[in-house]
Amino acid sequence: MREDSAALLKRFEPILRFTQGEQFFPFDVARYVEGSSLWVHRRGLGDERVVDEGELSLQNLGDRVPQAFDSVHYLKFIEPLNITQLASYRLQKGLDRVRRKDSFRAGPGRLARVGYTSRILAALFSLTLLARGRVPGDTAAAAALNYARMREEDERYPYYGRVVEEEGWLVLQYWFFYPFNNWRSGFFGLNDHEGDWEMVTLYLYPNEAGDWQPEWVAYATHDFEGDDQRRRWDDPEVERAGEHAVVYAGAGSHASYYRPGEYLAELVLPILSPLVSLAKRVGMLWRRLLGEELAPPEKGLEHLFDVPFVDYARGDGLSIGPGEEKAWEEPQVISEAEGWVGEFRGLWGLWARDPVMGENAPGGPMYDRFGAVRKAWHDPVGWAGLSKETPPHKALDKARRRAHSIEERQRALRISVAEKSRELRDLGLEAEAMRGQAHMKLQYQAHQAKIAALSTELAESRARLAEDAALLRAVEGYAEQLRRGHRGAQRAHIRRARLPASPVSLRLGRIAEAWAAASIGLALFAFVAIVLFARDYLALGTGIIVAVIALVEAAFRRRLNQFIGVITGLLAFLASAVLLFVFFWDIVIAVVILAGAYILWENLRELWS
Amino acid sequence: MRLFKRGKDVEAAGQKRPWAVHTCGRLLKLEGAGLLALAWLNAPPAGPWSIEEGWVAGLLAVFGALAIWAGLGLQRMRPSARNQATLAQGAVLALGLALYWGARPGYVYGLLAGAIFLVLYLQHPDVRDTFPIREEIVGEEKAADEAVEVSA
Repeated sequence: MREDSAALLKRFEPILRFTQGEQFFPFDVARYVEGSSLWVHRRGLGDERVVDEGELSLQNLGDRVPQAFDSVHYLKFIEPLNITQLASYRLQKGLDRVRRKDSFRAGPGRLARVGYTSRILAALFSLTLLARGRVPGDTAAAAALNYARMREEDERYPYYGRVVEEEGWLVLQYWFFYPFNNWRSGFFGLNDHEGDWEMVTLYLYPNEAGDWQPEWVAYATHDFEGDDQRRRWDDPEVERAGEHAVVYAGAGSHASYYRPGEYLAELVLPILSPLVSLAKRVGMLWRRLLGEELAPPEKGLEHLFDVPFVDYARGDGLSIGPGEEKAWEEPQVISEAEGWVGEFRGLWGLWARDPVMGENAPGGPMYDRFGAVRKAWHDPVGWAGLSKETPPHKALDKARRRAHSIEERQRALRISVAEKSRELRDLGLEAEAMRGQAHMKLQYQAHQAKIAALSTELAESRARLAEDAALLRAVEGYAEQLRRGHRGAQRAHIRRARLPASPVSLRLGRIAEAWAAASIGLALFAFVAIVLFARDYLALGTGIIVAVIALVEAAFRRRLNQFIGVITGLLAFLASAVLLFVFFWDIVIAVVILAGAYILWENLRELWS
Repeated sequence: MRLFKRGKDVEAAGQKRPWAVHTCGRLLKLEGAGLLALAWLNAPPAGPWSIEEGWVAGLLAVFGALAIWAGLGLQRMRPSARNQATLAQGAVLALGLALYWGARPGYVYGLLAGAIFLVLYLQHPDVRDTFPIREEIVGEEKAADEAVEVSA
C-alpha cells in the first residue's frame, strides 16, 4: 500500500508557483526538528526548555511528555539575532533590493485599494500588535538567514503525502511545511509565525477503465471552508499541467490559490461586530425604502469595517513541481502511525503568547493549535463539503436506487392516503348522522376533533405525494443526464469565490497611493493641531477634516457622484430629525388629519359608487 | 414599503421624458426661484457687503441658481442633471442645518422641508431610471464583472 500510495502521490503531485521575493519554500521537517529545541510554557511558571537543540529528532518528537492543563509545548527553531547581526542583515537586504531585480515590489498597496475607514482600522490593528504578543521583529530576519544557509547546504523540496479512502473517494493530501511565515514583516500582511503547514487535497475515483481520475481539488486558504474551497477538476479556474494541479502560493503566507494575482484578505475585528450589523441594517433600510443600493453587495456598508490585507500570489517567482524549475523530492507518505504526526500535539514553532493566535506557530498536519485533531485530517471529505457528493462512478447507480426508493415510498403513501380518506369519509358520515341528537353531543364533539386531526394528516400526506412526484421526476431526469454523460454545473456549489483583485485604477495613481498612505496620519496631526490651537472649533474642525478626506478619497476613486448622493441622504436624514424635533405635535396632527381625510375619502367613494 | 411606485409610462416610453422627471424639474426651478427670493430678502440694505452680512444671501443665490440650472437640465434630459440636483439639495441642506444651529431664521424650516422633499423626489424610480448615477467602472468592479463571466 505504501508503495502504491507513494506512486499515486507522485503521479498527481501539484506544482507550486511562488511570488518573486518569497524567502521560504517547502522544507524538510526532519532537519527543522533536528535544528529546534522543545519548550513548554506553563501558566504562571514561564517558559522552560524541555529538550535541547540537537537532541530532538522525528523519532523522539512524539515521545509522550506529561502535559499539564494550560501548558503549551512548542518547538523553537530560531534564535534571535543580536543588534549587529540584525543591522548587517537589514543593510544587506537593502543593497539586494537596489541591485537585484527579482525582489518583491508591492505595487499599489492594500491601503490604496480600500476606503479610509478600513485604513483607520488597519492603523488601529497595527497598534494592537504593540500590546499583543507577537513574533519579535528580528526573528523573521534570523529565520531568513538560517533558512538560506540550510537551503544552500542541501537544496531539497519535500512534501508529505497522506492517502485515505473514504466515502467512495480516494483522497490524496499533500502537506507542505515552511520554516517561517513572514507575511507581516515581508509583505505587509496580517501575521508572522514560525513554522507553517499548508495543504492541497485531491479527490479521485476509478473511471470506467479502472484508472484513478481526479474529480475535485481543494486548496486550503484563509477563511474559506466547505464547498467554497473546492473546485471540480475540469473547472477552468483550476490550472493544470497534465495530471498536476497548479497552486499559486501567497507570498509569506503560503496560502494556496487557483489563479495568479493579488488577493484582498479582509479581517473583521470582533470588537466591531455591533457596528458591522448596524451598517448592514442601515443598508437594508435604505434599499427597502428607496429601492436603491447604497453600494454594490460586495462593497456593502458592512465592509466599511474590514481590515484589509493583500496576499500576493503572483506566481512570478520560483516554481516547484514536475517539469518546473525545481522538482519535488520523492513523496514521504505520512499517517498517524508516525510518532511526530500522531503523538506530537505541540506547536511547530514559537508560541508568541498572542491571544488572537495569529502570531503563534501552528500545530502539525494532524492537530490544530489547541491539540485537537484537524477536520481536514479526521474528515477530509467533509472538510471540502464533499460528504453530500457521490463519486461519479457510483452516481448513476445511486440515482436509480434513489428513484426506486421514492417510488416505493409513493406506493406506501398512496395506500395510506386511500385508507385515511376512507376513514375520514366514515367519520364524516357518522358525524352527520349524530347531528340533531342532543344526547350524542360529547360523541359528536370527539368525532369533530378526530375529523379535524385526520383532515390535517390527509392533507399533509397528499402534499407529500405531490412533492414526491416532483422529486421523482427530478431524480429520474438527473439519472438520465448522468446516463448521457452530463456532469452538471461545475461551479454551482460555490457561494463565495475568492478572485484576484484586478489592478487598481485610481485617478492620478501615484498621488492617490501617496494620499492613501499619508492621509490618516495627517488627519490625526490636523486633529491634534485643532485641539492645541483652536479648541473652540473642535467639532467643526473635525467635521471639516473628515469631509475633506472623504471628498478627496471619492474623487480619487471616481465615486464623487455616489459620495454626494450619500452625503445628501445623510443631511436629509439629519434635517428630518430636526424638523421632527421642532414640529413633533404639528407633524402628528397633520398626519392624523391626512389619514382621517384619506379614510373619509375612500369610504365616501365606496358609498357613492 | 416603497415611497414611490414606478410609473408605467417609463418602461414603454424609452427615452421619452416621464411626468415625474418633468415635475421634478419644475419643483427644482420653483425651489431655485424661492432661494433667489430669499437671497434678495437677506441682502444687506445698502453699502458694500461685508462677508459677515452677505454670506448667507450669497450662498442662497448660488444654490438657487444651481437648483434652476439642475431643473432646466432635468427637463432637457441632460445626463448630469440628477447629480447636479442632488448636489444642490445637499448644499441647501448643509446651509439650512448651519442656519438652524446659528441664527435660526424663520424660513430655515421651509428650506429644510423643501430640500428633504426634493431629495426623496429625486429617488423616484422614473427619475432614477432616466438619470442613473454613472461612475466609471474601475478596479474591483471590473474584476467582479469578469468573475461573473468566469462563473457563467
